[in-house]
Amino acid sequence: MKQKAVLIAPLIALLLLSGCLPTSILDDVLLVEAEGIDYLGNEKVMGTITMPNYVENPNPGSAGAGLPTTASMLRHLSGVTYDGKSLVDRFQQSGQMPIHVGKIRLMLFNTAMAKKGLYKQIDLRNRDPDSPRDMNFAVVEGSCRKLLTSADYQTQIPVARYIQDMIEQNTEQNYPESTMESFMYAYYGDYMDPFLPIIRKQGDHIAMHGLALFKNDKYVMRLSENRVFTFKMLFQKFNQGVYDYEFAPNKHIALKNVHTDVNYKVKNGNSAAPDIYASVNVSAQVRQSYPKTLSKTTGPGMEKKLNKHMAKEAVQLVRRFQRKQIDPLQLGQHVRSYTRNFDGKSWPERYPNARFHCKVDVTIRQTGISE
Amino acid sequence: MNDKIKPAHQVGPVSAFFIPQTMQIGIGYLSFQHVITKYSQQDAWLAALISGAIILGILWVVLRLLENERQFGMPDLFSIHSRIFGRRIGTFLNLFTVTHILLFTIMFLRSYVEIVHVWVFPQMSTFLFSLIFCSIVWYIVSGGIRTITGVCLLSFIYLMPLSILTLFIVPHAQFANLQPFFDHSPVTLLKSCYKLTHEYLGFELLLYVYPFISHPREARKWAFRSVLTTIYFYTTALILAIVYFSQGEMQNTIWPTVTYWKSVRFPLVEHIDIIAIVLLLWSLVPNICLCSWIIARAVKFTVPKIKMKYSLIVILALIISGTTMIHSGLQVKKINDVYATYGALIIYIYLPILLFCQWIKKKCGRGAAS
Amino acid sequence: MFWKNSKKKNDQGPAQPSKSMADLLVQLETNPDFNHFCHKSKTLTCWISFINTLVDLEYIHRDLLPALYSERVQCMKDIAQVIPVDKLIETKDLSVIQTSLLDGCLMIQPSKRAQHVYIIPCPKRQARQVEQTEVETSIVGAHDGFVESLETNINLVRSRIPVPQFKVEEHRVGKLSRTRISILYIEGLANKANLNTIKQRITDLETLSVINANMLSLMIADNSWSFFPQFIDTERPDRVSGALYEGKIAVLVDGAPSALILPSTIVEFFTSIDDYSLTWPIASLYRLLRLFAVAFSVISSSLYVAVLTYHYQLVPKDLLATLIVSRSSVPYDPIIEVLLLEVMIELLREAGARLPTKVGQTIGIVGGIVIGTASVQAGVTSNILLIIIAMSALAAFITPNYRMATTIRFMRFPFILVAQMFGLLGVGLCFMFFVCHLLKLTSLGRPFIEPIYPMRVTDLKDSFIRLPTSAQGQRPMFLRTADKNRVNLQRTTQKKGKPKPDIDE
Repeated sequence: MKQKAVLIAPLIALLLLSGCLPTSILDDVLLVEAEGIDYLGNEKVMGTITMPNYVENPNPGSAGAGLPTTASMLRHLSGVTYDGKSLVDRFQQSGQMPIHVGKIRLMLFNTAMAKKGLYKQIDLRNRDPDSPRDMNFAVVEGSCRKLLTSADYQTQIPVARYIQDMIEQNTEQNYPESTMESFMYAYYGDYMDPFLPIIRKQGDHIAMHGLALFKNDKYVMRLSENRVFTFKMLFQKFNQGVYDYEFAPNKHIALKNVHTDVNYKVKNGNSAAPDIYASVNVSAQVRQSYPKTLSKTTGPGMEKKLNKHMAKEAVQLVRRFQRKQIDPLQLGQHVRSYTRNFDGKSWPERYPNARFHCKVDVTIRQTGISE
Repeated sequence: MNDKIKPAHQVGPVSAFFIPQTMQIGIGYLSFQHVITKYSQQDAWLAALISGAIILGILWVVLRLLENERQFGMPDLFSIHSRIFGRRIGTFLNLFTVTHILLFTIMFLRSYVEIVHVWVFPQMSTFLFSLIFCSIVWYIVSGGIRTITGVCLLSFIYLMPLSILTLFIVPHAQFANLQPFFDHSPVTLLKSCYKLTHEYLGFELLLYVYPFISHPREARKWAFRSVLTTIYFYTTALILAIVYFSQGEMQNTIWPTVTYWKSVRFPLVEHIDIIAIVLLLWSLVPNICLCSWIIARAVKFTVPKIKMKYSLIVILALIISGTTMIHSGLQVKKINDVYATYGALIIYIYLPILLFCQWIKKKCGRGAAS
Repeated sequence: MFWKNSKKKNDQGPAQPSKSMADLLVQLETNPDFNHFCHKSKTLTCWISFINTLVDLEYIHRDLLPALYSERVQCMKDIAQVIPVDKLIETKDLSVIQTSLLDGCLMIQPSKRAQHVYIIPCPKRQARQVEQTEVETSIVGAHDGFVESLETNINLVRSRIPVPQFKVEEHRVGKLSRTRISILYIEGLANKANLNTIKQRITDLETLSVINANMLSLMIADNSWSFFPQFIDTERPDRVSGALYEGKIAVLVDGAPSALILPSTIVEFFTSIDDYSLTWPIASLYRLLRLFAVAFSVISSSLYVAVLTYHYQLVPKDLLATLIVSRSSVPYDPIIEVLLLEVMIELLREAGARLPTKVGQTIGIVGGIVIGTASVQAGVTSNILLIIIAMSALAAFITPNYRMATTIRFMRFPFILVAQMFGLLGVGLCFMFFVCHLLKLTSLGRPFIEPIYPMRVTDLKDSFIRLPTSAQGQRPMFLRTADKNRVNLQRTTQKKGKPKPDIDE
C-alpha cells in the first residue's frame, strides 16, 4: 500500500500542476451570433459580427458582481478585411472577452459578395469544427452591416435570432431548406448547384425577398417570391405553404398546401437530350378565393386549370435554369441515379438540351365552411 | 507457462462475441467512409459486404488453426509458433505478430488523441492524457482477462447509443444517392475491399484469447455472430453516410460520422459530437487493455521469469512514449497505412500459410509415427 | 522499513481468561454488583454467585432460589432435578465459567472456590421494543424493524421462516467486546462455499470490538478500501427473510439493530421492498426512476462544471440566454460556485443529522430555504445551479440503503474535480475508472455487478425492471444455490381448467 501511495502522490501533483486546458466559461466569452460580409471591391470586404446582449434585464434583486445592472457586453463590431479572413480572428483584438463562434446562427452575404463568389467563405466555414451545421446562410439585398447593426427594429430580440427565426419559419412554408448542411451538400456535390434565400430590410422589419440561385459559388439569378412555391414543389416533399393563382385578371385563388409529393423519372440519361419526367401531386385546401368561383360544377374545372398552369410554370422555370446553365433542382443528380455508367464529364453540355416534362395533379380537398 | 487454465480464470463463451466485436469497431468507424467511397462511390456498401464475407472465411481459418492446436496443449498462437517452427524461429514469429499489436495500440491511442485535438480540446497534452489513460488500463489489466472481458461487454452496451444516433439521418436521407446499384467494376470494389481491412482487423486477436474461453464449440458460433454484427454495423454506417452526404462533400470531409453527429439536435443538447467523442473512450479502453494483456503474455511466454505485473508497466510506458512521439496528423495517417498493410499481410497471407504449415506438420508427424 | 520492527506481538491482552477460580472470583469481587453468597438450607450448603446488573433478579428470586430450599435437594446432583430450568450446564472449564458469569448466569458452587459448578442462564437484556424502522421505510409493507437484542431479532426472522432447515449459528467475536454474532441460513439452499467463507472470515477476525453490523461489514468485506459497500445492511426483518428465501446468508450482531445480507450485487442496493407490492409495470418504472436519479445525482454537478467551463457548444441556443443571465451575477468560475454549494449542502445535511430533534426541523427549513434564496440574491450562486444541486442532493437519497446513499453523495466530488481539469473527457475517464473498479469488486468472491457482467439474463428479470412473479420462477444464478427453482415451474405455467372460450361463448 505504501508503494501505491508513493505512485499516486506524484501523479496527482502532476495532474494539478500541469497546465490545465484553456477554459471558455459561458458568461465570460462573447458568442458570435451573426456574421455579415459586404463586398467592397479589390478583394476587400466589410465584415460585421453581432453578439447578443443578455444582461440588459438581469435578475431583479441581484447585486450583479459589482457591475451596474445595465452593464452589457459589446454588441457588434465591424471592420474592413480581406476576403476569406475569419472574422473572429479579425475582431479578436477588439473584443473585451474572447470571441467564440460555436453558437453562430447566421451568415449573411450581400449581393455583391455573392456575385463575386463565395468559395473562400465556404471553405472557411467547412474547415472549422466549431461551427454548427444548422446555421443559416442568406443573401442580403443592401448592406449586411446596416441590416445587422441598425437599432430601429420593432422587435427587441437580437437581430440574428430574429432573422434565423424568420428564415426557419419560412423554410416550413414556401421556401426550401437552406441551412449549412443543404448548402454544403449542393455546393460540393456533383451535378447540382446551391441556392440561398434573399432577405432585405424594409423599414422597421426584415422580409424575405425570393431565392438566390448560384452557379457553383456565384450568384447568378434571382427567383421572385411567387415562383418559390413552384421551385419547392419540384424540389422536395412538404406540407405547408400557399400558392396564389390568378386565373383571370384580378381574380385570385389561394391554395393552402396540405401535402405535396414529387417523383422523377429519367429516360435516355446518356443521350444528348435526356428526358426528365417529373410528376407532382398537390393536395390542397382553399381558404381564399374570388367569391362565387368554387362550386360543385366549377371545382374540377378549376383543378384542371391549376394543373395546366402549374405544369407550365414548372417547365418555364426549368427552362430558365437551363438557359443560365444552373441546376438548383439537382436534376443532374436524378439523371445520374437513373443511368448506368453516367457520362458525367459531358453533362454540363447536355444539360441545356435536356427535355423536362412536368405533370401536376392538384386535388382540392375542401374549400372551407361556406359555399 | 501452465498448460491448463484454471476455470476461475476462464471466461464464458459469449465473450467470443464481445471481444472481436469491440476490437473491430474502433476509430476507423469515424473516418472510413471518406476513404472507401473514393473508389466505389455509391457501391461502397457492397465492398463492405464482400470484405465481410472474406473476413468470415479468414475467421474460419483462425478457428481451425486453434482447434487443431488444442490437442497439443494451449490453443493459442504462441504455442503454434513454437511447436511448428521450433523455439528460435517461433520466438521471432511471435515478435513479428506482437509488433503488429503494439503498432495497433499506439496507432489507436494516437488517432483518438488526434480526434480530441481536432474536435474538442486542441491544447490537450498527449502525454498527460496517455498517462492517465494508461493508469486506468493498468488497473483494469491487473484484474485479469475476466475484467477485460467485462470492459468489452460494457463497451458494447455503452456504444449502442452511438449506433442509434446514426439512425437520426433517415429524415434527411436522399436515397437516390445509392442508385444506380452495381455500377462499378470489380476492380474498384476490390480496391475498396482492401481499404476496408483496416476496419475489420481485430478479430484475429481471438488467436491469443482462445485458451481462456470455456465451451469452445459455443464460442465458435458466437465468434461468427460477432463478425456478422460488425459487418452489419459497417454496412449501415456506409449506407447512411452515402445517403446523407453527396459524393463531393464526402471527399471533402475527413470524418464523415462526426460531422454528421454535429448536426443531430435534441431538446436539451446540441452538438452531440462532443458527447459522442467522449463516449468513444469506451471503444478505446477494451482495445488497449486487451492488447497490453496480449503483449504481456507474449513476454511471459518468451521469458517466463518476468512476471506479467512488471512487464505490463514496461509495455504501458512503451505505449505512452510511442504515442507522445507522433506529432502531426500526417504522421498519424502514415502509421494508419502502415498498420493496415501489415495487418492485411498477416490475415490474408500469413494465416492461411500457417494453417497450411500446421497441416503439413500433422501429415509429417503422422507419417513419422506410422 | 522503518515501520516493520515496531510491530510487536500483542498477545497479552486484558481479556485473557483467568488462571484459576480464585483469581476470577477475586477479580469480580471488587465490583459492587457481584453477588457471591453462601446459601445454607437444612439440606444443602452451596455458594451462589451472579452479577446482579446482568441477571433477571425477579426470575432468580421467584423461581430459582426458592427451589433450592426444597427438601429434596440433598447434594449438588439433585439441583439438576429440582430446579425448574430448561438448561443447566455442569462444567469445570474456567473459560466457560467466566463467559457465562459475564453473560448473566447464576453459578452454584459446592464450596467457595470450587471449580466444578452448575451454571443456569438467566440473562436480562435491556432493549427497545420492536418499533417502526427509522432508515428504511416502506409505504405498504411491514413496519417493524430490528432492535438491539439478538434474541428479539432472531425471533422476528424465525417467525417468518418456520421450517426446520433454517439454521442459526453463533460465534463470539472481539477480544474485549465478545460480541455474539449469529449466522442465519437455510440449509440446503445456501451455498456451502459461501457459508464456509463467512464462517472463516468471522472466526478469524483479530479485533478488539465489534460494535455494530456496519463495522463488521467493513471488517469482513472483500475490499474495505472501496467506496462501495459490498454487503447490504438492513433493519427490516422482512427483507432479511426475503433474502434467506433466495438462498442468501444473513449475519446478525448482538447490540446492533441491523443485519447484513451476503452475498449481494449492486442492483440489490437499489431495490426496495415496496417494489414487490406494486404491479410490475409500475415497479419497473420506479426502479428505472431510481437508476436515473442515481445517475443524475452523481453526474449533474460535474456536467454543469464541464459544460459551462469548456463546452458552451452543447447548450441549446434558447437555453443559452437563461444560463448566461443566471450566471452573469456570479463573480467566479463555475467550479468554485459548485464546490461552495456542495459544501454548503453537505454541511446542512451533516448538521441536520446531529441536531437534537427539537431544533433540527427549524434549522433544516431555515438552512434550505433561507440560505438558498439569500445566496442567489446576493449573487453568490446562480439559481439554475441551486436547483441542480438541490435535486441531486435529494436524488442521492432515493436509494433505500444508507451506505449506498453516502457513497453516491461522495462520488460526486472526484467527478467535479476531474470535470474542471479535463471537461467532459475527464468526466468520461472518471466514470470509466469507477465502472472498472466495480467490475473488479467482488462480494464474498462473487462478482459484484452480477446481472450485467457476467450477463445472466435470468437475473436481469429482477434487476432494473421487475418482471411479473410468474416470470421469476428461478433463484438468482450467482448464489449457486442447491435448489434452482423457487416454485414448481410446471404448476405455474400450467393452463388451468377448461380451454379459454371464445368471445361471448
